[in-house]
Amino acid sequence: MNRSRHVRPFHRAAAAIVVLGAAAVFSTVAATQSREEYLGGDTTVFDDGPTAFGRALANLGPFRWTEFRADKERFLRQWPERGPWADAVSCAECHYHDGRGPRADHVGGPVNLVRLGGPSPGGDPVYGIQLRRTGYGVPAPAHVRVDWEEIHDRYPDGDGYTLRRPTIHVSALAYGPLDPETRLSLRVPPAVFGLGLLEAVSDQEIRRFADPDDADGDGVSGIVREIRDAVTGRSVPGRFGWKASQPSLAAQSAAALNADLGVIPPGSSVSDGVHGKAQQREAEIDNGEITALVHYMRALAVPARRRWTEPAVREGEALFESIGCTACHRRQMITGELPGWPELTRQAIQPHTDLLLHDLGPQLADAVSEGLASGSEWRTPPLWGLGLLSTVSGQSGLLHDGRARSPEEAILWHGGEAERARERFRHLPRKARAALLAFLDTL
Amino acid sequence: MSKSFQVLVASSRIVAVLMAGAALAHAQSPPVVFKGFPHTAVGDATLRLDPSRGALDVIGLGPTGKDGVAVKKEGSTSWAARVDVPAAGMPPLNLSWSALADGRRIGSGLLRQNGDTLEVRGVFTGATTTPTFTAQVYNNGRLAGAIGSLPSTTHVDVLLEFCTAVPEFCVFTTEFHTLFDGACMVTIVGSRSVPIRLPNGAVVTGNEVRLVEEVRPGGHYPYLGFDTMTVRSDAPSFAILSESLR
Repeated sequence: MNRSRHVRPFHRAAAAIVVLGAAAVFSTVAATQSREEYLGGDTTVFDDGPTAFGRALANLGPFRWTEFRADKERFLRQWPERGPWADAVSCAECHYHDGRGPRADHVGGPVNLVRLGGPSPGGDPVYGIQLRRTGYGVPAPAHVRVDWEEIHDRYPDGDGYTLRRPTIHVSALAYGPLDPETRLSLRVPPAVFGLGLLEAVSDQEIRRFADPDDADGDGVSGIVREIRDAVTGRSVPGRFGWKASQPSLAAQSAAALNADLGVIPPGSSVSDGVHGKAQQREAEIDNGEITALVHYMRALAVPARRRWTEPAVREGEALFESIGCTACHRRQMITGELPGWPELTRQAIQPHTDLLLHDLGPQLADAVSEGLASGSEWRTPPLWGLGLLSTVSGQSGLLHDGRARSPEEAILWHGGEAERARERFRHLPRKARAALLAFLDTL
Repeated sequence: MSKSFQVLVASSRIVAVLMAGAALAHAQSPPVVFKGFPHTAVGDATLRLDPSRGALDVIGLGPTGKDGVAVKKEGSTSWAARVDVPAAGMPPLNLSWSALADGRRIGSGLLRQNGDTLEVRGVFTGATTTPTFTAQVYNNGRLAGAIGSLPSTTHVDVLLEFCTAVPEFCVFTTEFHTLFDGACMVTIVGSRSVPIRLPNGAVVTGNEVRLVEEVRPGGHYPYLGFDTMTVRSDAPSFAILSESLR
C-alpha cells in the first residue's frame, strides 16, 4: 500500500508561533462562523441534561413521532433471541441513554466489550471476534477483569498529569485456551445520536477529505476504508465503528446484534463462535427490526453547544485549529441526500470528524486489525456531545478502550499522525491548554 | 378567611386520590411493602403501616415540602394512590407527586391551596423549549371547557365552595398518566361537579380536570414510562389509603 506513515519532525518553534497566532486565527474564526451552537444544523436540540442524547431531531416530521417512540421500545427491549453467547441483553445496555457505553455502575464496569483479533478475520478460532461474558444455555465463555496501570508524566512547563492504560485479565475460559496469536482489545460502545447525519454525508464528501499519501505534506494522512456494499456490490466508504468497518447504520446494527447480543440478522445464518465453530441458525429477526433500529438512531438529535461565546472558549477553538487538531477532527461537513429523510438532508453539521482512518501510533495500537485497518489505525470519532458524556451516562471514558478519563488525557494519548498536534498541545502554556479544553467541553 | 375555607379547615381532613404515571426517588430508610410495592421514605419522613385503616402513614414531614415517600416499579406507566392529608390547623396544603425515570423527573402534579381555591398544576419535561399543556374540564365525561398552549406556570383552580356540601370530607381524585404518544397527563376527578376556573378566567362546571402535556415532535424526548413515583407534602404527615401501580 502506497501511503505515507511518516510524520515529519515536530518543530519546536511551532508552539510559540501557534500561541502568537492564536488571536489572529480566533478573529478569522469568529468572523466566518455562524450558528455555531447548531452542531447538527437544523436538527440540533437544546438540552444540556441527562436527556441530551435521546431527543428527537428538532425538525423531525410530526408523522414520525409515533414510530420514533415505538422504535425506542425496540432499542430498550431485551431481545429474547439472544445468545448463546452475548455481551448484553439490549441495545440500550451498551448505549445507556443513547450515549457512550453502559451506565457508570454497570455490572462489569463501564467498558464491556473485548474484541478479539486472531490469525484469521474471524478472530480467535474458538471464541470468535469477541470474548463475550454471558452464555445462554451454555457456559459463559470467560470472566474478564480490567486493571489500569497509571503513567505519570509532565508538561514542558512542569505541570504533571497522569494517564492510564488497561491490562486485560481473562480467566475461567470455558472452551479451552485462547489461540496463542489471539490479541485482546477493549472497546467502548459509541454514542448513537447524530448517526443519521453522519450516514447522510455523501461518499464524495468523505473521499474529498482523504489524503492517503499525505499529498499536502501536513504529516496527516486520511484513508477511506473501502467496504463492499452487500446489496450493490459497489465499494463504499466505511463510516461507522472504531475502525470504520461498517458503511451504513443498517450494517452496523446487524453486526452489533450478531456480535453483541447473538441475534442473527437477516441475510446471515451465522452466529459467531460457540464451541469453536460458527453456529448455523436461521435469521431470527427480519429487516423490519433492523429498519426500526436504524430509524430510531437517525431520529436522534445532536445537542447544541453551550457557552460557545465565552472568550476562553473562542480562544480554545482557535487553538484547536491552529495546533492541527482539525486536520482529522474536521469541524464542518455538509450532508448529502438521505432518501426518505429530508430532515437530515443538506445540513451544515459540525461533527469534528473526517470519518477517515488515521494511524494514531503504537501507544494506542491494539494489534487487532479489521480488514485494511491495522491495529494502530482508528476512525476519527465525532466530538459532538463530548462535554455532555458524563452528564448523560455518569462516565466518560474516551478513546476506543475508555482509557482516557478526560479530553485532556485523550489528547495526550494521541500519537502517529497526531503526534505533532499532541506535542503542540503539550507545549502550550497552561492557560492556553485550559482554553482548548474549555472549547472541547462546549461540544 | 372565606366561609368555604373555614369549612375546609374545620374538616378533619382532605382526602385526595392521586393517580400518576412515572417517578424515582432516593431511599433513606428500609423499604416498607404496602399494597405489594416497596416504599421508601424521602427526606426526613418516616413510614409506618397502619393495619387498622389499611394505610401507609408518612409522618415526620418538615415544612419544606421535600419530605415524603417513594414507590418503585420498573416499566410503570400509571400510578394511583388515595392520599389523605390532615388539614385542621395546618398551613395551606402543598402536595406534589412526581414521576421519574432513571432518576430524572419526567412529570409532576401539584396541588396547592390558595385562599378559596385549590390550584392544580402540571409540570412537564418532554419538550426542550417552553413546555406547554392543554387544560380540559369534563363534566361526567362530557367536555365542558378547554384551553391549550398553557405554560407550566399556569394552573387550573378548583373552587372550594363545593366543600360546603361535604362538610366532613373534601374528596377528589387526581390522576397522572403516560399516554400512548409519550405525553404525561394529570387528571383530577371529583366526587361531584363543582365550579372550576380555567386559566383564561372562564368558570365551568365539571368533576374532572385533565392537564395534558403537549407534544411537538421536533426535539421532544420519547418517554416510555417511569420507574419511581414520589409524593411529598409540607403538611406534618399524610397517609396513603390505597394505591395501584402498573
